[in-house]
Amino acid sequence: MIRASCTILFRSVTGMLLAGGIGLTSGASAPNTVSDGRLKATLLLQVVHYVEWPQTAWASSAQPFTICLRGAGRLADRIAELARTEAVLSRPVRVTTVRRQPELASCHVLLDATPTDAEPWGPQSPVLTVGEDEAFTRSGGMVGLVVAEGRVVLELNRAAAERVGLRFSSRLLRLSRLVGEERH
Amino acid sequence: MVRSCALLLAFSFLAVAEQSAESLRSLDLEQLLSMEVTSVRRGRQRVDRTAAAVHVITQEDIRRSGVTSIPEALRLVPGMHVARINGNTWAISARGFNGPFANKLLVMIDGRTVYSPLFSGVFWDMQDTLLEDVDRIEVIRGPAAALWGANAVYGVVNVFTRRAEQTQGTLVTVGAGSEDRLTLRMRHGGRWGRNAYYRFYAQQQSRSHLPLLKGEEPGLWGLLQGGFRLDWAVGENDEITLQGDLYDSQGETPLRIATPQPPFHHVGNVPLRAAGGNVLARWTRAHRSGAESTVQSYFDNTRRDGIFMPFRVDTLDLDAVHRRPLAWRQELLVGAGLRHITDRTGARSYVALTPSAAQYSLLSATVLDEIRLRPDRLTATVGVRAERSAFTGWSLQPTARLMWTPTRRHSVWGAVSRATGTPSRFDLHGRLDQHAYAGPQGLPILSSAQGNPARQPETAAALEAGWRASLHKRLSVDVAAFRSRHNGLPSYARGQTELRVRAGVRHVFVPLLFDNDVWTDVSGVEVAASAVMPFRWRLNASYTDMWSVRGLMRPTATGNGSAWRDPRRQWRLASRWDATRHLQLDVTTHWVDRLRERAQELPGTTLQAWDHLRLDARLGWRVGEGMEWSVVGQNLLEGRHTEYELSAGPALAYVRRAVYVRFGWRR
Repeated sequence: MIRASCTILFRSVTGMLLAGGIGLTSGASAPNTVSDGRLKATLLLQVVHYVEWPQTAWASSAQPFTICLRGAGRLADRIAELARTEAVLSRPVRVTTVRRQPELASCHVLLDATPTDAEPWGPQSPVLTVGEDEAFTRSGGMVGLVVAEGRVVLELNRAAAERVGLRFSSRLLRLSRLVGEERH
Repeated sequence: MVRSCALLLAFSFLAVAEQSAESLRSLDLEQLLSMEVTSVRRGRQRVDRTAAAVHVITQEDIRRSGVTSIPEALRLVPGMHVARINGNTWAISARGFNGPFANKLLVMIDGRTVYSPLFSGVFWDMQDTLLEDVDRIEVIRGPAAALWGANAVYGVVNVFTRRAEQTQGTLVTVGAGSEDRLTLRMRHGGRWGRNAYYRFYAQQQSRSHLPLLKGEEPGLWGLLQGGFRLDWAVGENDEITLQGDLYDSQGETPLRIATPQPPFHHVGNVPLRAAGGNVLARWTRAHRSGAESTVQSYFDNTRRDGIFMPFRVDTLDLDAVHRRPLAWRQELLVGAGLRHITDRTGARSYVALTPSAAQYSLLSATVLDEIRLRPDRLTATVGVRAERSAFTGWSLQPTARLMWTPTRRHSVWGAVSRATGTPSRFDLHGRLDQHAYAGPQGLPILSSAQGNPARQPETAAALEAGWRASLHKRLSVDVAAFRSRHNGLPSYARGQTELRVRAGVRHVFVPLLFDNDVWTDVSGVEVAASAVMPFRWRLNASYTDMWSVRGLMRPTATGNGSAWRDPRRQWRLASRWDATRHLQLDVTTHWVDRLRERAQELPGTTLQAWDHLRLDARLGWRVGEGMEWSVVGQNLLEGRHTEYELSAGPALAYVRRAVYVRFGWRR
């Protein structure tokens, strides 16, 4: 009986090892829970598949999908790591840091990790702005990745996105919390 | 076979763990959004979910109000009474009992207590940090003792600085003004390796004093301060924070003392020297299923020589907190702390501590249980904190709170709590000459407050309730009401009088022995509202009304040792207007009622502070990427007014108009 279970166990574990790659984690991650930084980064790379950029966003079919980072932070680091092996809309992903607003011209996504009192850059077409702050979407940001009660919640500011010509798919809208703006 | 099976089982756990991290990418949107995350909590609890009268001052509030120090920033909180006594002394309290050493407000900066164990209260001129890097100041009015400790009898002020990763790059601020004569601040933040962020800062401030009621204005006082912070993410679920500061402040400070010869008090400027440093380390670990543990330790050294006797206090603190979700929708918090204090003091003719040096510890344990009776609708929090002070033994501080959220736009909360104030070394062992006057037969009389080693802690029991509402997409309201009963407040009795000679002057020395026989009932209401108007204009308003009744617990007690130096009403209106993308115009008006004396007061003191209206205005101009000019005018309406009254210790000054210009550059 034990022998039979062990054989089954042996086979399934070998299968998993082959599928997932062998490696020792730090031991801190347990099944079904993951750190918020890693989840948010993975989530963002999924969310962009459900956003429609206008035709004007693409100079050519070979142009990489550019994620721009403003400010520093763990989420920015995670995105830089994951994006190395990703593809979005059949385009390679490029991650770059920006310091001044004119550099936004080549961006498709802006991950804004600056504190709330930094000068807000005006809406630029067609850049999807993403932030982690609770008040991000309420003050004009388009996508907020907020942790609430142990899970990541997607907050979307549809009006801000549509103003620069971006559209959220209905699947995305259904799964998110829609936020209205507080300022003109 | 079985052994290798067991080994396989062990490996499979690791493999499964690895798989869930790596195979995240294969999950779809719905699955990702339903995963549980471990996130090292930044200690941030959403304000609208807290069953207490909380107000958060954000960095934006600090910047746009034009305040230049932490005590001045506290004026922004509804229900706080901030009275500036002189150039470097403030009396700050919430819900009553204000004084330069108001002992019912616990103040912490990044988890480190800055409340003085010698005198109670806070030496506000020593509590500074780079204001630009303050993330928020959370103020809880009312007994928050169950979470924060004794001396949180009437509130907690918690200053949080930004994490190092949020303060990257270089920041330089230069300012000049009529009172804030010269301000120079610099900060640089960067990255260290893959997972650590750091910053270090230095600042130099020189400020002029305020004009005294009598006597020559003291000279400038200056502060030189520097510090650092390191935040290091070790692995996915551990975080270590290391921070420290060093400061040195010099100048003069005005002192008022009683002397046994006419005119029976003396106001003069004495040299002020304050220096010190601190270092803090904190380790937080997020466990699976949402549990979190934090261990923190800090060391603080404070040396000061000013209006009281010279002293030195060394504090070593160790604190551990563990939070975990439990069955039946509960979250339990368990904490323990140990603080060891060593102090050494000198003596002056008018003030001394006996014994002049002491070493003592404070032990504490907390249990707090949050129960989501109905998820998102009704949450109850029950807890207790037990503390053991070396001088007064054990005290229990329980609290029970309830938060009801009938709709997403409204919430109602109520709380019942008990808090204790631990007597300071001065309350127990101190002596301070209070006042002098001409007695019969030509002999001057000098009375002096004496500490009582058998002093019991003050206790307070409070009933509070509040309502928060988002009335409209653009209007929100926050109302809090409270009723509290304080027992064991200072009363005094005249001790054995005797003839003494000091500096060749014969006088009658009257000791005032402090005891705990006064009770006070305080009730009040605090209303705050915030409105978003069109054209990028925001308005914030608040109104506070508070009244008290006091009496003596025992008929033998003769005097009331603490006057009611609190205004009955205050209101505040702040306007924040983004006139253009580059120009900001901010105006704040604040009216404070006169200070009222209710009980028999020590003869020789008179009420000085009438009601006053304060107007501050700021013009902010962004000239380029990361560059901003500000011009700020303070107290523009009234030429000069006093905010407090005469007492022994810090001499009273006029608060007057001030203006400053500041330029900030950040990259």
